[in-house]
Amino acid sequence: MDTLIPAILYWLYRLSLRAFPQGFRAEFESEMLEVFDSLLVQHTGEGWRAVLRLGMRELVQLPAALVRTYRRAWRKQRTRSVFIQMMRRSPFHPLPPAPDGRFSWGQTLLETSLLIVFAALLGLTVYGHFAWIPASWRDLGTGVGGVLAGLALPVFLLGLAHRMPRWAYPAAGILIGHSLILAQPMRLLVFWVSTLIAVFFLALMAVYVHLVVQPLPRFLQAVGRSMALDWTRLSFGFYGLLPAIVIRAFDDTTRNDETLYFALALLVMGVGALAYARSRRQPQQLGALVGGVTGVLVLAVLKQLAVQGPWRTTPHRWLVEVSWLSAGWALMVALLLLPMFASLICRAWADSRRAAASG
Amino acid sequence: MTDSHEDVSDLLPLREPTFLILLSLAEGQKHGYAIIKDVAEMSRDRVTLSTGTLYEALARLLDQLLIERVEEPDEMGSHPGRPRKAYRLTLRGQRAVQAEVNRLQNLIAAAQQRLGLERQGSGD
Repeated sequence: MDTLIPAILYWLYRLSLRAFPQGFRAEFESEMLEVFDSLLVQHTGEGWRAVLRLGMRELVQLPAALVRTYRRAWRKQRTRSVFIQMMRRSPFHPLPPAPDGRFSWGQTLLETSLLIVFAALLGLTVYGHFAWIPASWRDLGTGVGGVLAGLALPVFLLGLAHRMPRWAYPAAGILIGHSLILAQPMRLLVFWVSTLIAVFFLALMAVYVHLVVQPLPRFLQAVGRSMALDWTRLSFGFYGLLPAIVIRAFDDTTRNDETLYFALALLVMGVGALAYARSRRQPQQLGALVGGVTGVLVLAVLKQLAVQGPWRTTPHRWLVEVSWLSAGWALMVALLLLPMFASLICRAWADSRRAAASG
Repeated sequence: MTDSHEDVSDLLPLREPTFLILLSLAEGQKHGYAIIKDVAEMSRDRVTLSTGTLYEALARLLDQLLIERVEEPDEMGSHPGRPRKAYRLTLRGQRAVQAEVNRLQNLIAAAQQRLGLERQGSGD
């Protein structure tokens, strides 16, 4: 057997090693190449069947080895991240735990892509014509929406307790937005009120577990500690409500020629999320989210101006629309800022306790 | 090393390739190529490790402090004189292998006892 097949196999093997995580490669790549080279020499002496068997063995076992290696790398990274979090003394540290989108464009795209993909899917389900689906099946959507809304909060709390990554928060917002804003608009007020109560409850719990270690149940302690790590994650979660609000604001897109405004609104929303993921300070992060919401609502007002015509012709309808949009904007901004206000209040409370203790 | 005194029961049961790698290193330090050959020989070619599987396992065992890396001179290999990386069991690794052997022995003893009882039962 000539040296061509082993040479090709060696080249392919070297190429396959690029699939492993960078840290793993840095540590083991040269060794692996050396061992494979030795195996290749041994099997070449045994004939082409043996060489083929060697190649097949590497190929067949590669996916499982890759999965295990990546899983271990991810766990190590997570452990490091949790360790960094535990090292922080203050529950109101100005920076969220690294690694995240602040330092990596890949992570930034991951953090924002889920929001954008979910928003696109939401738009598709609202505007899509699914005539091929039987009517009885389509009615199931309302019931499923109700079930999802009921499950959203427990699942969200479970995710919080396990310190779910930042990009998962808007997905929870989208789910809640779809269930309570689009599917059942009558429950909107209940949603706003319950959200306000829930956020303050979480804020108090976050401070409580840091100042008084007992006697909350361990699950609630985990939720509290997770909440205390980075308040803006909750704001980002509320940002996930925006796609549902955009769809409500542009609910007559299919009847009028407003697709441009709708597309621009989604673009502004995406840019806001991207700016949030890249911002390194909390004020910048909140500014990015508020900017995104404001941009979307400004576009909605512009759309009303374009579609309804000058306000003198239909002042009543124009005022109703703009009032609705302004109220939506104010509530969204309040929701985005709420975690920050809650943290400020809790910080003041903590400071006063410390002062009382030292006095 | 303080880690070697830790309980290793949380690592059990060991997966067969992991157990064979540790067994291979039980008789002394080895480099990757020697481990692959030894594992194949011990298992009568039933377990043939790819380099990816081997080094994934070695990385995990290093993390678990069951093995450690040492450098040995490569006199016979492709780069004579250049130090080559080899692996050997730590004290914790020896404890893990011993614990796994004990576990398997207990399992086999239980199985033999049960089978023996069954044979007796069927003979009655």
